Amino acid sequence: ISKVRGADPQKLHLYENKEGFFHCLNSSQKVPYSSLNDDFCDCDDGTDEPGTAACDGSTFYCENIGYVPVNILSSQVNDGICDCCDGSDEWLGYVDCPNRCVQNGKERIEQMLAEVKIIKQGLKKREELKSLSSLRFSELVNKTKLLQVSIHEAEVLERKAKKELHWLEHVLRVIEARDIVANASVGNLSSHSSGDVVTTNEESSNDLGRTHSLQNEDDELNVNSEKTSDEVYKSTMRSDFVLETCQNISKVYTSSHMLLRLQKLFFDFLSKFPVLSNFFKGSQRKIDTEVLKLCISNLKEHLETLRSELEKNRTELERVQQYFSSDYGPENVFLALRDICLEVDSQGYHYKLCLLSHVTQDSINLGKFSQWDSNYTKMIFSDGTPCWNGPARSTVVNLLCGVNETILKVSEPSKCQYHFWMTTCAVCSVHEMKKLRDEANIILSNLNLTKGQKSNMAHKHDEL
Amino acid sequence: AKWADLCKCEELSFCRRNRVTDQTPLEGNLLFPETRVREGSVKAQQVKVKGVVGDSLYAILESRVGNVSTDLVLQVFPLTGGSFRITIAEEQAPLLRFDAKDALKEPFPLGHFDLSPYHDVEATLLWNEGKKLILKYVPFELLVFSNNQSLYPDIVVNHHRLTKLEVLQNHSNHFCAALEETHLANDNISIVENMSTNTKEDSLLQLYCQNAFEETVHGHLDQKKRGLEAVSMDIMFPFGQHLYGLAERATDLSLSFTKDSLYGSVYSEPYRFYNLDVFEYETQKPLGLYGSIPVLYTLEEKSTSGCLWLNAAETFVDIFPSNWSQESSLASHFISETGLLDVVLFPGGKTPQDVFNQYLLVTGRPAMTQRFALGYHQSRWNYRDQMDTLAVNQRFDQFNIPCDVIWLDIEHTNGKRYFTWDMEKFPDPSSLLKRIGDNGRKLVTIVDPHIKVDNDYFVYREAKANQFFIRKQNEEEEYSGWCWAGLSSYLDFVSKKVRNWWSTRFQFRYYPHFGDNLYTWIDMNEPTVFDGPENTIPKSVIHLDGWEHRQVHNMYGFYMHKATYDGLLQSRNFSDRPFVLSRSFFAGSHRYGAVWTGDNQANWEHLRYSIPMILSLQISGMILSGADVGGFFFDPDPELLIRWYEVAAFQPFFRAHAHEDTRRREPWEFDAQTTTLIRKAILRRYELLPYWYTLFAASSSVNCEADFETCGPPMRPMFWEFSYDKETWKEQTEWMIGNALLVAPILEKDSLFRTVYLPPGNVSHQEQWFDLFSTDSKKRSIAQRGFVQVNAPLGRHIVFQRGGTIVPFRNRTRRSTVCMERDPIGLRIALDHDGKAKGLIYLDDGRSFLYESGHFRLAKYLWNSTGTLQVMIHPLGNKPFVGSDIIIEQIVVYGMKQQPKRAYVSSQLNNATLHFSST
Repeated sequence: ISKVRGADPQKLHLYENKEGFFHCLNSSQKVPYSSLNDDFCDCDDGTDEPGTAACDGSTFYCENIGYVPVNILSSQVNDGICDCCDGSDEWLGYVDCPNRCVQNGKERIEQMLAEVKIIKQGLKKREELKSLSSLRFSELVNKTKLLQVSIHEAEVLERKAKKELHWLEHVLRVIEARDIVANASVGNLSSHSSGDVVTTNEESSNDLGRTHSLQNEDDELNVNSEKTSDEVYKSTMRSDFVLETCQNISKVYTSSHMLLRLQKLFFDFLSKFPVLSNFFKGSQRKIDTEVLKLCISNLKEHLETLRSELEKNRTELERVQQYFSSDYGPENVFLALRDICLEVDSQGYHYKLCLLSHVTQDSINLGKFSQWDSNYTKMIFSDGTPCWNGPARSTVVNLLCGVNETILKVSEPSKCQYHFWMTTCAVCSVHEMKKLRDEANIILSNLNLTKGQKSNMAHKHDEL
Repeated sequence: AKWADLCKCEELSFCRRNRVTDQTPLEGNLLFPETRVREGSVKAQQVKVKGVVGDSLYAILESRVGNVSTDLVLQVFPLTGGSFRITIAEEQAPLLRFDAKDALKEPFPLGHFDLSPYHDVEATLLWNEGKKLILKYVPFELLVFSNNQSLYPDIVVNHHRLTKLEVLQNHSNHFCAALEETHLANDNISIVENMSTNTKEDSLLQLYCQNAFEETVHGHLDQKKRGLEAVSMDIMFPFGQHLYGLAERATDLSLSFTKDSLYGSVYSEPYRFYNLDVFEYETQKPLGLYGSIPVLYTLEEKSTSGCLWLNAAETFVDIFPSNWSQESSLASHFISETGLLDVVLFPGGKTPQDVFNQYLLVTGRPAMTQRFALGYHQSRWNYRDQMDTLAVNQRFDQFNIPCDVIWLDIEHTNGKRYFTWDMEKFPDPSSLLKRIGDNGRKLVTIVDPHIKVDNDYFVYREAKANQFFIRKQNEEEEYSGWCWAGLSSYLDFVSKKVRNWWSTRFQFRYYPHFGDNLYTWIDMNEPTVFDGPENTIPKSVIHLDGWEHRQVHNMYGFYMHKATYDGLLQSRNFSDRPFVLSRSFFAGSHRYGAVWTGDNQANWEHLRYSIPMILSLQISGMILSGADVGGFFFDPDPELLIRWYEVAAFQPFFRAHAHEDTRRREPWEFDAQTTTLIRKAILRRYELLPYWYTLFAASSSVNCEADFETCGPPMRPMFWEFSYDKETWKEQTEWMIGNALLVAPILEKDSLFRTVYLPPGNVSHQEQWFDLFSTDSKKRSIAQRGFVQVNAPLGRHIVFQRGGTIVPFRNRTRRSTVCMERDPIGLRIALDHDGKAKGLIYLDDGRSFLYESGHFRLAKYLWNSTGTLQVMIHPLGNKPFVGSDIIIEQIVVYGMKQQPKRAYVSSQLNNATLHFSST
């Protein structure tokens, strides 16, 4: 069968004359063979007119020797506009369509060379980006672990310090109570029955009983963290001063029986805390409220430091963990781009695009990163500052293969819906390159070339 | 502005003084005195009749105040085609009244009167085509007969004695000024029955003079240096059953009563003419919108007539019931703030077409359209930049959707400096134009009348140097107000020299990148002033020719349209038909191009009201008119958008447009099904384009009656074709395209069917209807007549072809109209009861004026009862053009009674191959 105008050569066999009929391609309908390309649409599926514009929805095959063959819409056949580069769509000659295919092919090859060059560079850069991303990923994992450990440790310390503080405060309250009693005894002995003192003693004993239970809890904690605890104490308490002060305790206290008992209990307890007990070493097992107050204040200060440290670490952990909630695409390649901010001035505005994070126009928020499109070529940012009388601003960032991260263009096609175009190596793909190579193959195989031209083009193909 | 923010009659002294309702009855014969024609004063001078009319109000004034000239001159001019014009003005006046004659085609043709030899008590005038006019002197009354044998007049002027003209006087000795001095102004003037005549007169005069020189309306002070100058007249239609016209407003096609609850009036306000940019306008309100065409049509079974109130000032019109010899009739009362008392009366005839013909003879034929203007237009405020615009252009090809024009709104300019480009967004407009032109498409850019106050802007600088701007009331400084460009001055298009200068702006050397496929859109030309009263320019500003704005307001947009049309014509050496879309317009604007219904909304109500709005424009001559598809404000859902396309594809001017704050809504912005259905509607437009173009050519043709079968507006109210059928009189959900196609779209949300009224015809002629796009081929045969129910899911277009007609079509999908020009055509032949049909097609190059010298084809098709199709080519259309040798590729015949056995061609010219099938 000879050529059928507008028919794809690969489907030529379908256009055979079957006993005087043409069988419509996509239905069981058949029409007289003379209906084929007679400039009147006979098949309901529109397949009898590949070479004319008579059927809606049909296509016309342009051979385009020297370039890429394409199927154009039949509606573009003989409409006075050159669509195929070989001009074959305007076969009625309403308009002069010089053959531009070889020229187009050459231009396209040049263009592809440039594109491939960028893709190649981009792919190389992408490898770097990938390793940077994976490095960053493991850093993040490590950092998470470290933070988790130190948070846990600090939590333990915090609880321990809290208990100690509690206990010291309690001791202080007891001592102060003793002093009140002592003062009262001195100044007003006759008016106080001994029962009152006993009551006080009992209260104190009860308090001490509670202290013991606290102490037990602390013991449990101490098992794991005594050393750390000591180190922290060492570093945080001005021990020389404390020591000196504590050593003076005996000078101040000429005690009563109750005080002695208290002191004993205190030092027994203190013995569980090696560092604290060190403060009192050499003292004559006596305590002074001033020293105690100093100890409490130091401990409070220490607790504050511990807490802010903990808060800092928790915030940091939260920040680090946020990284894991985002999608960084295949092989986490986009991780290294996160938080990279690109800026551009366009049409009187200053735009700032922080990749995978947020976008702003001057001080207006154009959206927070919300999702990717299915093939990781568009970053979608939503929920920005709401427009007056309108929706919240949103942004789509289109990624094109390029060597560096650069914003090419910003536009607002619909009110408050922004579009960015930027280049990045992260989207450069071998697949893209393969497509270009395939296209180049088609162009080259579609060229009727001399030997010299062939080798020249082959050379170009190799470059690809 | 909402309805509540707009001025009502009661708030404006000129309307308050002149309107008559239940609440403001006639006060004796004082305010509405008996106007009489002075005996013996009637003279025929060449073709006009001139009489002197006295006005007894001013007679009282003469006796009391003195110095008031009361003589008015009545002139009656016959016009060819059977209409005539009457004017009333002061015989001698210190100031001129604005004559809106530019609305008429100049020089408008005059006919010939025969004045009866005896005209002592009344004068009888006979003129062409058997029309008769009786002028009664005391009281003044004009009786107009469409047929000189008829006993009953078709129009009666001053039957309700509301004709009045407030006589112009010098301010220095104006009687109201004198009154202010002699009688201290009193805010609480009341008229009591038992007042003495003199006191009553005093009080009435005081009432009359209230706000004569200034009034504050909605916070804006209006100073009126000329004092009282209103004109008013009642025009009664003894046979009126329905009135139509008075465009533009979003109201029902059939006009409602406006006066008193007694009559069951829909509105208590009169219809208003005051061209305004009404923000988010409401439907079913008598408020005036962007344009004014004060033409009225009246209809009953066998008789039609009409009138054109020719006045460019703010005008109110009351519609109310009347009577004549026991017949229930309709009357209108026009009140204008100033201007000449000037009205053209159309005695009409049997059908609305008779009135339309008379109206177009006076105002001129609509401009011959560019063919591309009938294609699909894609617009948005705004395609952001060059890349965006080209992407839209390219997407039409990608989705194989035809489109003829892409539009650029104000953002394409450099800071709203019109005639410039924003070179950052549109770095290479010439290349943009070329790329769009490569697809056979056109680009339209916008130009507004407000010129940014900026001495670095060449248009401003030049206009300022030449003093082309409207001036403040003091006449010394140029007026400026706020609009899109910020502080702006307003060009005075009422001045001829400004118009001439404006026209030159479209020379390619003045408008960079203005090229062959670039056309123009003029907007905000009411004109809009954001900080002005009612969003427009104050009435007291002064035009170059000395007019106060109040005298010319409603024609400002008209004059801009005219100047822009002339500009496009000149810049292309008179070889290309201008295409100019304007938002504001006046009677006669159809000579200059297209209009649209302004800033509508994306809701079903606005979709429904697009139909009566466009129909009203159609019968007023503005045939290239349409509504923004999808609605300008707010976001339509896909269902509304699809249905809107299904409506607008069958309306003349087919443009999608949207506000800046709306989401993108080009045909591909939704799901695939929506794209498919929108495409389908657009394809239907292109399919019927040969028919649309033929109808437009007919309307524009001065020889329409002789050359074409049908000369009405392309989109017609049902009553146009079936005026004898009362069922059609209020119909505004279906319409006719030409005389052949009946369109009845779905206009309700979630609706999948509707009732269609298929007029059954009358005793002498029974109609037959064929459902063209039924999915069921059997249903395409003769449809039941009367009210029928039709199912119409999305994508089903309800169009019936009327038996007896032949409609040309093209069914090849192309990118644009220019790509279709060589395509073969098809004919759909729908047979009538007797098995006959006729129709025609008009073709030319679609863009130039070469058709005037024979470069066209006009073919008449006649299918006779024996089944022969005859083709007759108009003898004058014999010169070639692109597509002049196209063939008929398909003939579809509906309603054949017998299955035909064979078909053959008999011709001296061509050989033809025939294939033939029947379903």
